Amino acid sequence: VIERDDLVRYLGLQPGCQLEAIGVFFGAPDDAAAAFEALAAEGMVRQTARGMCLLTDSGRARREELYRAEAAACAAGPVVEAYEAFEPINLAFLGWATTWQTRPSGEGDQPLLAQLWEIDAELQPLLDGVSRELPRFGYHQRALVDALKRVEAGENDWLLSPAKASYHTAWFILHQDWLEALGRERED
Amino acid sequence: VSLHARPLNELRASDRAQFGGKAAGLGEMLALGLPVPQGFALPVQACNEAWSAWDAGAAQTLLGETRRDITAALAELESQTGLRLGGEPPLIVSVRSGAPVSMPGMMDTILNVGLTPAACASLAQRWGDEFVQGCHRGLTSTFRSAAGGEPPEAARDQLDAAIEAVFRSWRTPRAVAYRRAKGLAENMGTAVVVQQMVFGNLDRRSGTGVVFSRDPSTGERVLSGEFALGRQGEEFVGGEITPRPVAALEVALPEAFSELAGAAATLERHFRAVQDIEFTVESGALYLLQTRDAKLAPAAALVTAIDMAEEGLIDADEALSRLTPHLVRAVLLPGLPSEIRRQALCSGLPACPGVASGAAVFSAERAIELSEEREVVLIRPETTPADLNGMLVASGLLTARGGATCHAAVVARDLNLPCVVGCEEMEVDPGAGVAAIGSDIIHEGDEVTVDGGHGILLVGRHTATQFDPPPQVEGLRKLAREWLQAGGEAGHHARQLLEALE
Repeated sequence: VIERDDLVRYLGLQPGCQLEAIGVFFGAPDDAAAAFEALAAEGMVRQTARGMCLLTDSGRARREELYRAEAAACAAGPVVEAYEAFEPINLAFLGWATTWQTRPSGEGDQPLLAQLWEIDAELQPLLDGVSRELPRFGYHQRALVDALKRVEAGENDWLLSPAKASYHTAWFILHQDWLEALGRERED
Repeated sequence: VSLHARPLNELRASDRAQFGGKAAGLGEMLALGLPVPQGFALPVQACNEAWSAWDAGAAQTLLGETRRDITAALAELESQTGLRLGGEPPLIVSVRSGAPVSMPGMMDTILNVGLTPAACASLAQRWGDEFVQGCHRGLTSTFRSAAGGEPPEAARDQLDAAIEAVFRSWRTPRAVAYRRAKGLAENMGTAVVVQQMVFGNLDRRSGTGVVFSRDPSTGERVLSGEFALGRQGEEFVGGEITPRPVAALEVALPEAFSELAGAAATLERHFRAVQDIEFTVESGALYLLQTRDAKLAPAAALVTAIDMAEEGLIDADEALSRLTPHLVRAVLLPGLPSEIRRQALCSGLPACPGVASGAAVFSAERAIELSEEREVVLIRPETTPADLNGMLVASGLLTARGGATCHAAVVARDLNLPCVVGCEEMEVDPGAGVAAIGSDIIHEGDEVTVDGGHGILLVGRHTATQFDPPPQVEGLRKLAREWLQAGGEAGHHARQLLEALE
């Protein structure tokens, strides 16, 4: 079952997504339509003619309220501590992505992929801790794992492709959700 | 490395890192025997040393020890020109910044430095009050906008204050933020160019302009550019006046025009690239004030590369290496006519070719909402994965930041979405629903057009047309076929170009 407020947060992170993407993210393909319709009945979301899912003004207000409460509750504690441990891992991943994109074609893929497995192995235990506080982070964990499974099957597009629910896309959405939960701005 | 100022005529292209591109280009032009006003340049190291001494509390003023350098260089300039700063006959100079990389927030130019009351009186005897008053307005307006106050009375104080303003502008918050975003070194520093003024506003046989050695839109072998009679350069660049096509110079001052055409050809041979030249005519005499490699539209890049190879100006492999498959495709796609492209509001890097018009929107959500009624062009500071669905419904995309491999460019190419990235003159405020390019404001819903092949944004709706490809496309095909056999990198590149021609 998809939690109402989790769906509100997700639609803020991925405005315009299709019902199908909601089903995939929450690992509940059959529940997506019902969860969305329940929110629509409350006037929080709507769907465009092309089937894109959006928050309405009251949905956006709900989303801000949710994050505000969360930021206050998380102000000092395991979610903040984990985020501080995440920052160097995040930099390592961004550096890895650049190395991957600029590598000479086809050469040395395996050692480079081994580095990514190490980065992921550092990240997942941190996320285990965050998921205990904020259970929806389990969805982010699964999105990362699903992308890596595709990569292991030889579909390297699932590493960085911005048009897929790739490892990079999942990482970005996770990072954004985390920042919002802490009431912080992205630093670029 | 010398810390000291050097006369422009001693500088060469190899001095670029220390003295900046502007001074190095002027030095090269002097060495070619071209008419360039005399002057001197301070190296970037002078700026760095000044700031180090200031930061360490070892200097009373920011200029500090640099004053001695200026004194020595000025004495040499006075003997070269036979004029004296603050003396008789008066030497009047411009002061310009010259960072190795141009950046927003940096001071640009202070004109007519040395125009004291005595100098004004002296020049007025020769050239009249009206002219001198115009020059003095030029000094006060450029000084105010650069240094934030009134110019001092004494000529040497004016010069020192102008140079200090250049040093200071190195650390404006905007320039610092730009360097941080670009990963540019804080200790790169800026050079300073001090150069004898020539007066485009002197009389009816004077003026100022910018000229390209070939047409930067089409690559055609004609001088193209703009010229304004009776004006100084700053008014021109500042957009305060509407200049006329450079052909107007041919009618008004035919001798200066033919000298300019000769100089453009000389510079092109020397730099082996189309040149973008700033010039001033003073009482019929031509002076060159700057030259740099021109930014070319894709068609012009293709045409000039092939033409220059045929002219023997560059080798065939150099011609091919100047072209990319991306650029070749952009030439063959339908595009906007060049007279429309000249109306561009701003420009950035061409990331994915094609022309698209629609209502401007500044967030993915608004793109999705508005796209239910009409076509939209998404304009963002930069894009992130959260913008993906907005990109899916947009007809075109434009970002203020980012390079050829940024998120927006990668996704746009994936979606075949006309896209321009890195329009750095633009500031986007998604919250307020506006984008600003200088004083031009785009509001949500305004009709705009992006031309991803040329990297430009225009106001209004414009339609692309399919042009006949320039004949140089055949020349390119022939060259690339010859290079296929070369194998290695060159052969691979030639094959990619041929594929793009299909």
